[in-house]
Amino acid sequence: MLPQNPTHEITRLLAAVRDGDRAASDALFASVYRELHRLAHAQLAARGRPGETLDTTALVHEAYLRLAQPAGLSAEDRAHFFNLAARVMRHVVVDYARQRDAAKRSGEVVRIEVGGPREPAAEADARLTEDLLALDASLERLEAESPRLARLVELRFFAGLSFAEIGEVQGLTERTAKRDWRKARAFLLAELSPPGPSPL
Amino acid sequence: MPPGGEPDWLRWFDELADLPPAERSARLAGLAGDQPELADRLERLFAAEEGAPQLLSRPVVERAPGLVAAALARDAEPEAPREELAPGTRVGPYRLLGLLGRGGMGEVYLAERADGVFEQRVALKLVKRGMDSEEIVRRFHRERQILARLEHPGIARIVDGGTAPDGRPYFVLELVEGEPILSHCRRTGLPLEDRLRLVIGACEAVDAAHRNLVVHRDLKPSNLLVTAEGQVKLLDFGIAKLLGEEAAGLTTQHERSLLTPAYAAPEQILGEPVTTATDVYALGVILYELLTGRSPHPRKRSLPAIQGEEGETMERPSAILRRATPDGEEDAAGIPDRQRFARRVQGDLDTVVLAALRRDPERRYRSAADLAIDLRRFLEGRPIQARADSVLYRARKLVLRHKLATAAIAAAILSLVAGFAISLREAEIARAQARRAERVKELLVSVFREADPQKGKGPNVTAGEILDAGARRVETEMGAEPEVQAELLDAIAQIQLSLGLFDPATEAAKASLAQRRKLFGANSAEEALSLTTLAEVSSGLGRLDEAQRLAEEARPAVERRFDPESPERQRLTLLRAFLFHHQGEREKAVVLAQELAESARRRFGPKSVETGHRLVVVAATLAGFSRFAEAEQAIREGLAILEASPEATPYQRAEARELLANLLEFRSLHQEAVTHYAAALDLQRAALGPKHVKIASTLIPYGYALSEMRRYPEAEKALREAIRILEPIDHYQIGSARNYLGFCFLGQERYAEAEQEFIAMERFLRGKVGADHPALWGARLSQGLAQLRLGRLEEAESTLSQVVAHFERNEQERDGVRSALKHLGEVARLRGRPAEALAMHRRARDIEIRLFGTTAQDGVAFSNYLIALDLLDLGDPESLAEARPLIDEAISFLRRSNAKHPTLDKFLLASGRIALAAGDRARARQDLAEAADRMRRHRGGDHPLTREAEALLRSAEPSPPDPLSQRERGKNQ
Repeated sequence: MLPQNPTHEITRLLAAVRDGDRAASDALFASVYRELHRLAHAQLAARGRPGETLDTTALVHEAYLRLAQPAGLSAEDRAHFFNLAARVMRHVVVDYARQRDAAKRSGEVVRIEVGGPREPAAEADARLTEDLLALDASLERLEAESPRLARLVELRFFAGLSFAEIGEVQGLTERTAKRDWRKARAFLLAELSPPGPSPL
Repeated sequence: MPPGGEPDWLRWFDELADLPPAERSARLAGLAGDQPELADRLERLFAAEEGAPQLLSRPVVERAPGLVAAALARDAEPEAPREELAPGTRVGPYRLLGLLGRGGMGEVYLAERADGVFEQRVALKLVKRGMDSEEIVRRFHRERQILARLEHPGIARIVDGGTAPDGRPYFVLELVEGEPILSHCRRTGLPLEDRLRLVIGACEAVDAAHRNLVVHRDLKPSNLLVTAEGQVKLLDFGIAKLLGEEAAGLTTQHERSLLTPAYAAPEQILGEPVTTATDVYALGVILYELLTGRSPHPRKRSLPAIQGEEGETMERPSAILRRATPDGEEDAAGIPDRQRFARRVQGDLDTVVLAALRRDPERRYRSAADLAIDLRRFLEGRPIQARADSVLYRARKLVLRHKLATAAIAAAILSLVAGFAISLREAEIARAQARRAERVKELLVSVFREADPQKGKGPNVTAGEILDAGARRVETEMGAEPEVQAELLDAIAQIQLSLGLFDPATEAAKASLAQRRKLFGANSAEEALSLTTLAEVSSGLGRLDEAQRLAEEARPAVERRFDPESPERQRLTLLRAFLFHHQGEREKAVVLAQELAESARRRFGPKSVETGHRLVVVAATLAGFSRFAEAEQAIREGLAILEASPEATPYQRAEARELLANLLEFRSLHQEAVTHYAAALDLQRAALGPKHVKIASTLIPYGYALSEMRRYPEAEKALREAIRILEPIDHYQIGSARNYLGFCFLGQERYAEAEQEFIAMERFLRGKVGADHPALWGARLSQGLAQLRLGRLEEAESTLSQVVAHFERNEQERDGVRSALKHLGEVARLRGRPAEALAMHRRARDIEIRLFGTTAQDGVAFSNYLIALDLLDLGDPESLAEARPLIDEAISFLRRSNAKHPTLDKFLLASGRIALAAGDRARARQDLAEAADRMRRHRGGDHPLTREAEALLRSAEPSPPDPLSQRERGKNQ
């Protein structure tokens, strides 16, 4: 399913995205998406026990190494790539939450994952699903006020990047990244439904 | 927001964020006058931040790793096209007429033969586009294969199959035009009897599958259609499984994600083995729904709830029916007359439904056919087979709800669990054993009930009493099931043995043996198992000949009945290995132990946990035969395997470490030993809790090693903790703990206290072990040593002579002989018989060299020291010449092994005395100065040895002694 030469493909797509090619942007998104899926599968298979210790940050980095690095991306493209990967992560997680929520509401098949004792109980699970959807909506509103902060949330919360890495991606100092994160977090917390125990 | 820029609040937030709260409030108040909205917003932001310090603090992958993993691992891509094939599309010889439904991985179309061969309309199932992964395609073929072997009116027949033009596989089924069973009942308001008949029909279809070794695993109303003729048809074998195909029938993660939680059996959700009883559970849920209009499960089934889920925690169907339908709780089954239903359901049907829904698959109806039989019996007004949960069972639940956490009971449960964990692991497919375990658990718990703190004896009941009570109950109450009775008695005997309760263990084992002889005859395999237990008990009691006889009696039947790899056989092999050892047939013993390890290598692979575990056993056997070097090699190999293997239990790792530590101690590597003991203790505490017997038995050698390192307070603490754990169960290892505690006192020169411990040890052991048991004689040996140190030489001589004489009778007690000889020799020397002492000490050293295979050992160094002292007392020039290299060797060994060795000062003192006697004053001064210096630091200036060293040092001075030291010497002498 992957293009013949994915790294070459990435360079071309990134260039096209810079030129404002909407289709290229979608294609790039899809290609990162596929790569993350593939790597996740590989990681899960290697660990033997699904759901146990998936390392998203490692996934994002690995996806970068596999897809983007051999193409020798510019710093700008590299930042772009990480932003993209973080957005893919958000999409993956929220889409999954949405699907589960829909299934639950319709009373149809509800997927359950019971990986082990650490797995959240069904109740916390449902709450988690709801919280993720609420978070996604709040993030849309944050995007309207400050796209930069929204990117930051994706990098931090969904892709699990460290503040040092985020600083690098966003061209900021680590300290500024942390300050930004504090603002973004305050915004989201104020937006989110009444405070209470939340799995997030 | 300024155009193109960022909103104001961002800047303001930064500005105010790090201010102290009071200052921030003041600034906000100021801002409120100007820009009330902005101030309000900032206030809310800061409040939100403070109100939820944890929220969003960590990435989602840390908060919900399972969710992220599942999201990423999903097979489907969200953008994957979901377009269905247009009506009229040709698939093989079929023409599609429309989409009937969509499942997890397939689409089902209404279709007809396009070639006009038949007019019949069919259902055509096709792998969903974009989902044609290897796994899905494999599964799809599997479903087709399974359907092909099922021929039953209640199961939709497969008629054809092939590959679509786009490469997707498909198969064709008889078209079932019907309605899901639940909505059918709701729509028609079907009477109770007709509902039961429908379920009977479903059971028959499921049973047909079961008889073909197929478990459906996804039974739910939408997979059970009722046709216009009233026939139930079972559909969708998409996640069905062939029994026996994969050993345990475990549910994979992927399969689990396809489950329908409301109908899934607990074992499916928990990933336990799936059996035909799994389908029985789903049928039970459906039956429950058809009878009550409600699911037996709360809307959300949390994991802990599933684990604790039991038929009896669910509301009885009749109870639900009696409640008028409350608002919001809809009747999904269209029950025509709830009260009438309630009257019919109450009693037998309640029992039938709940029996199908039991948490433990073993306690459900074994098959769908059995469930159908009871439903039919009910319809015919005959008594049903299922029994409501027994009194015993309910008692168990009741008791478990109480918290009976006395140390003894906890210890008993834990040792039981640990014991079973091991036996189950070894047994692999331990169905029978699991059942036995269940019975034993039931029994024990019912006995705990009697030990309920509210009922009399209170929390002081011991595990021994519990087991006694258990044995009594088994004998009085289980007469109706003599086979189970005998098995339970055998199990109880094994537990008692593991707790060191030899007498009751003997009784229980004998009772079991008698029972089994009666039931199965002499030379039966069952009899042989009881014989094995009895042999183990005898061996534990030190009655080795008897044990040997019993083991050999058991052997033919065990070898006939069980294969060499079976746990039963290996248990006997291990026992025989130990017994051979005690009879001096050490080679045979080691061969047997190595066979155990080899068989594990062959069967489980060289790196398997089982191999690791068996290597530990081999090492233990070798160590038992004083073959320490080989033992250490085996244990290190075993430990490496266990450490590397994720499946190894903490318990196994601890066991290996403990043994390694034991071996290290033989080489006087106390420091390393202490590290391994401490690690073993951590593992054991994590696995077994703080008060398990096993912990005590690790604490004991740990305490010993610590006292060898002169870490006396820690040593004393460890040993006292061990005694505290063991005392409530009167465990035989209390003896060892007291022994080492005594050594701890000896090391601190608290000889009187030491003697008390040794006396207590003997008192404790007497009557518990045979009169010849090594531990009993060990206690006497230690008393002899204490008497020696207390200066009661005559008494010491008598005690130690008896000990030597006793140990001399058994070649295997060489270790005891050499220790006793050393002390006895010391007595002889102190009583002025150095030649006798010399002979004894030389013999002790010979034994040690054979025992340890090296002269580089603490014990040998100490023997050299003792021999040198004997030679010194003999005093002739040849003796003194002989003494010199011996004491030199001893000193240099101690210096190499541990520069701070506690007895180095005494060795130096001896060396100085030998030098003085031989006239080498320079050497004497050198050694005595070092001795005196060490003694002052470690023993104190007032210690008699320090004084002796100082005095000797002065006498070795080259110049005439000055008047002061003359006076001093005079005072001291």
